[in-house]
Amino acid sequence: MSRGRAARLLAVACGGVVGAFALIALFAPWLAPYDPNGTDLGSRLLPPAFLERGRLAHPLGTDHLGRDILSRLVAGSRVTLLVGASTVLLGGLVGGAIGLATGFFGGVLDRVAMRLADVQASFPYILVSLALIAVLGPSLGIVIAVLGLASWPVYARTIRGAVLAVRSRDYVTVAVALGAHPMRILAAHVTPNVLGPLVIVATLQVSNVMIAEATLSFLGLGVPLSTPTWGGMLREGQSYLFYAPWLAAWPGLAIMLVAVSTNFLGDALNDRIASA
Amino acid sequence: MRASIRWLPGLLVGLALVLGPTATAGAEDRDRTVVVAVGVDATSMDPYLSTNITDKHVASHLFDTLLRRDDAMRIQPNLATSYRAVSPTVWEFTLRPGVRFDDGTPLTAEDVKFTIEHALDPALKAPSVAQFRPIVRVDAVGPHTVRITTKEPYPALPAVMAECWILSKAQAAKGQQALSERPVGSGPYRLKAWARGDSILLEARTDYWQGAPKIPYVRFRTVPDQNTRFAQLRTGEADIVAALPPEAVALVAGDRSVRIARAPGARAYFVGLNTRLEGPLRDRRVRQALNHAVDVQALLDFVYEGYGSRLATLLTPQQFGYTASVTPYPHDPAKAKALLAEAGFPSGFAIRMESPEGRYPKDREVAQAIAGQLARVGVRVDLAIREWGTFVGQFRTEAGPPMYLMGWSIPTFDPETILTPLLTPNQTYGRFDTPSLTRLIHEARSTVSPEARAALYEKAQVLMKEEAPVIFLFQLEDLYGVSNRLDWTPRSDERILLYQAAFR
Amino acid sequence: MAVVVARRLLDALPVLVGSSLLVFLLVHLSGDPALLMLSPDTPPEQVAEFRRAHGLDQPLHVQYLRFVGGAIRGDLGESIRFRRPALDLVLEALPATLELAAASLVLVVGVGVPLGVLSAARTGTAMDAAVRGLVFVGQGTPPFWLGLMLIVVFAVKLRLLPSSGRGDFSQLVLPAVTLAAYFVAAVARLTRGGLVAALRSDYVRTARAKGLAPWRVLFGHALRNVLIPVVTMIGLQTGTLLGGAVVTETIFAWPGMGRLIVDSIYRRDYPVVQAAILVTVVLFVAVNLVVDLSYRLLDPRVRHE
Repeated sequence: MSRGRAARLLAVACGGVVGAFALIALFAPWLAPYDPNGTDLGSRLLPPAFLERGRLAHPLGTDHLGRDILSRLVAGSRVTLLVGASTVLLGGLVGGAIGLATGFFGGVLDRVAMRLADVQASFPYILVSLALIAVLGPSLGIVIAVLGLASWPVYARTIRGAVLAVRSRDYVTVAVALGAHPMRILAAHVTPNVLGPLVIVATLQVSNVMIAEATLSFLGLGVPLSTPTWGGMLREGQSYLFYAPWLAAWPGLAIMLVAVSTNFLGDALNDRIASA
Repeated sequence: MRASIRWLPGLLVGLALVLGPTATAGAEDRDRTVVVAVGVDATSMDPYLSTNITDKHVASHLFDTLLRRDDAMRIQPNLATSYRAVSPTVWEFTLRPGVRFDDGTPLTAEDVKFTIEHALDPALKAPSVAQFRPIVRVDAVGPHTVRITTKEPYPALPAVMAECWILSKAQAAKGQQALSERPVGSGPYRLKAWARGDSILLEARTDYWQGAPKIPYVRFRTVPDQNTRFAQLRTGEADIVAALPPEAVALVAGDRSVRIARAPGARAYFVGLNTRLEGPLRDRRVRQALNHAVDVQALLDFVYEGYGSRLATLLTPQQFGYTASVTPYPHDPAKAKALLAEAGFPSGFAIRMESPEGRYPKDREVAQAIAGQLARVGVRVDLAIREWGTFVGQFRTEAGPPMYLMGWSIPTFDPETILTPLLTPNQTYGRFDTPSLTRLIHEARSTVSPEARAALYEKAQVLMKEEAPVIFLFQLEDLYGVSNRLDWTPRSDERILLYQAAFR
Repeated sequence: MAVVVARRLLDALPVLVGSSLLVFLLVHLSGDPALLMLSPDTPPEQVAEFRRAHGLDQPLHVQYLRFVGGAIRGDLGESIRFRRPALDLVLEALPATLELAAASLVLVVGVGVPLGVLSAARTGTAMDAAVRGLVFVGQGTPPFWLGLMLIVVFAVKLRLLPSSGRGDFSQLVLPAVTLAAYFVAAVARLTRGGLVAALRSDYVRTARAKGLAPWRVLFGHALRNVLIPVVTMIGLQTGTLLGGAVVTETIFAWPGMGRLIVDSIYRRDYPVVQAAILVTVVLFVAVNLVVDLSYRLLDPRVRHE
């Protein structure tokens, strides 16, 4: 099997995983076998069906309140993937644009934007969400806004660095010398060369954001309780790690699967961009 | 250019070596040291700046109190050999002669006077001295006699004195920093080292007036994560671990090196019902219905694996004046529905309930379970889970949340410390008051005769059950993981004391 | 160079003022410490008295000006909880944080760059996929999970390392690995991505055509191309490593700044939060200044005034 084919197969498999989760998220309400919030204290902490004491009725087991883990995982995929996608989009767009502009034009714009990035990046996002929630009350929007904005400096700085490197290349220098319009140079030469790092950072951020969402959930700063998320499940399961490890294992596995697949996809995309 | 990447690791390793692991006073050896894994570090070595339980653990080893509680939580003489009420507002304590601080100076009435005045000094801005506030003056009548005068009759004063650690006036003369960092007490241990955020090491005083402790060193190690604390118990890195979750009991069962120790906890749990707000909770029948609707025993069995017991009212059996003759509301959803219908809510109502998160054992779980049980009688609970700071922030306003889950700790074991703040007007957390109950509580808190006072509290418990100012819940058992090399029993006041402990 | 440094130092001033104002507003929006500090039986008038004693009853702008006034004199206020200068508390926690950050950076660079090179040199092979798979799993594992698994395996089962705490070198190993796991993936991927792009670029092709040994092509030409994004990433991580290692610090009972900051946020201990974030900002600005300067060292073609 040639190298190219193996790589394509891997990319297709990872695309399949991400696509499958997206479909699950889309059809979650019809797929979940039980009410994801339906508590049943009598059948709490049941292990997955393949373990001793497990029941087929709850293939992945139940949590500390007797809720069906499979149903919560399916229902949770919605908000989790939504938060993942929209924060990456928000942070990537804002940060990517700022990184491009500052790297290319430099000057006062660069100075101001990079100092803003310094302030933002050295700020704990927990403090920001705590303050917002104290004023506005908990909501999904706050989580997306906080995590999205918290990540723009990562994109901005990475892209800016890449632009700086590209800008000094001969062909860009030549284009500038020939008097090409900056926008044209940006579009024609610079953007294609920084897409690689952008894709890498963005796909890295997907799992980062999902874990950050878990942290917020655990601290009571996440999305409202009635909405299950993988992050929320993960942190609820944390206190049972020694006693009922499956509570944290399933959502952890789901996050890991999505993270690994998006990262592989990102690399494939990067390779494609590099060879184009 | 290539060199640039080579120096980087070298530089970082060098940096790590320079900053180096700082030695944390490892003079003691593990065989002679009891390690207690606690969740938070101490705030200060000045017990009157205490903000958490670790402060109290440490203070109980460094200092002595005038009176003390024995294992059954009865008040016993300690630094004071005797005490009496000279008048309803004046108390006299006689001190034990010959007690010396760690620096060799004798402990006298002047030190007691200084300590109480220090706690009440506005410049100290002490966070937790509400129970000292009724004291208006302290007089050192002789070297070993102290008189304490209160504004009004204050029968809870002896209970407060069991929580009043006596500081050295001589040490205080060196400034507040000396009190906060270099404590000098008359207790069984002295402070050997304090690595902030990491651990506190105490060393036994061989010249302690009640005899030298059997355990030479005690280390309180800050381990914030409960899973890590449990791991430390298993590895033998810790000898005592507090606040184990009930699930841990089964896991420890097979381990021959550790055991589980239990003690009834000092907290009464309840769901507060706000009657300051307009709404169904103002109707007593509704409040009674809620009490019938919640299956407290099921909460204990399923959420806490049975480690706890039901409470009929806000008083725990360890408290002064508790009576077993008042029994809990039976779980009766049909009766609850009938009462709701009678009050004009045949199909229930919707209401918000607030619960803190990470403050009490399984607080969020139990709040969710209560909401589920209330839903079965038609009370649709909109449950909000909040971080503790945001939760308490809601009590800054006059109104406050409609329903709220709380656990109230009563370190004095005196009902006054829970009834006045929760059930009388103008209090921080209480959102309920009725004239009849308020009158009873006020009368009891200024009645000095213990018998008359107990009778008043018994009446208060009957009336409390009838009025149903809260949903009465339970008292939990505190679970500790203890190394089998140690002889140690837990107490009902959450205090971890090692003076009477010994290695096996 | 000197001009750039001077200008950046000048820039740091508005950054400090801006972040102090932001922190101040955010912590005050999130509530006050009175009810958190006082025992629940404290009646409302004593709560009000406590607020007055700590100046919390003053209007916000008065409190802020008071804070700025102190800060100019080097006084960042006193911790409401610990009654000690807030800056002292932060500086006491700093060595532990730097120690952990340094140890994990060594791991990140020492493991991440070679792994990235390995997988770039073998692009598209099973080796490439395996290396990346491993790295991605490390990155996608929630830190608390990874940390506890390490404790269970190395402390509880094998009894090789202590579970937690700080003091001994052996206590540094597990938290450093946990903290590094996430960042190794980032560095390995940026290394790989940059190398793949570089290896396909004209100048490397030319070098290859000239018959240079493959390793010389890799190290002489291609690796330089990836250093900028990697160094940028490390600069950014420094911010996260300083204040953002809360989860690792909590699990391993590591007395660092992340825990101090989050604890203080929860206790609404304003002065400590403010001091800690100001210190983080200063360090962050300094590290990223070094990062920016290193661009010129790493790639002499970069000129950015």
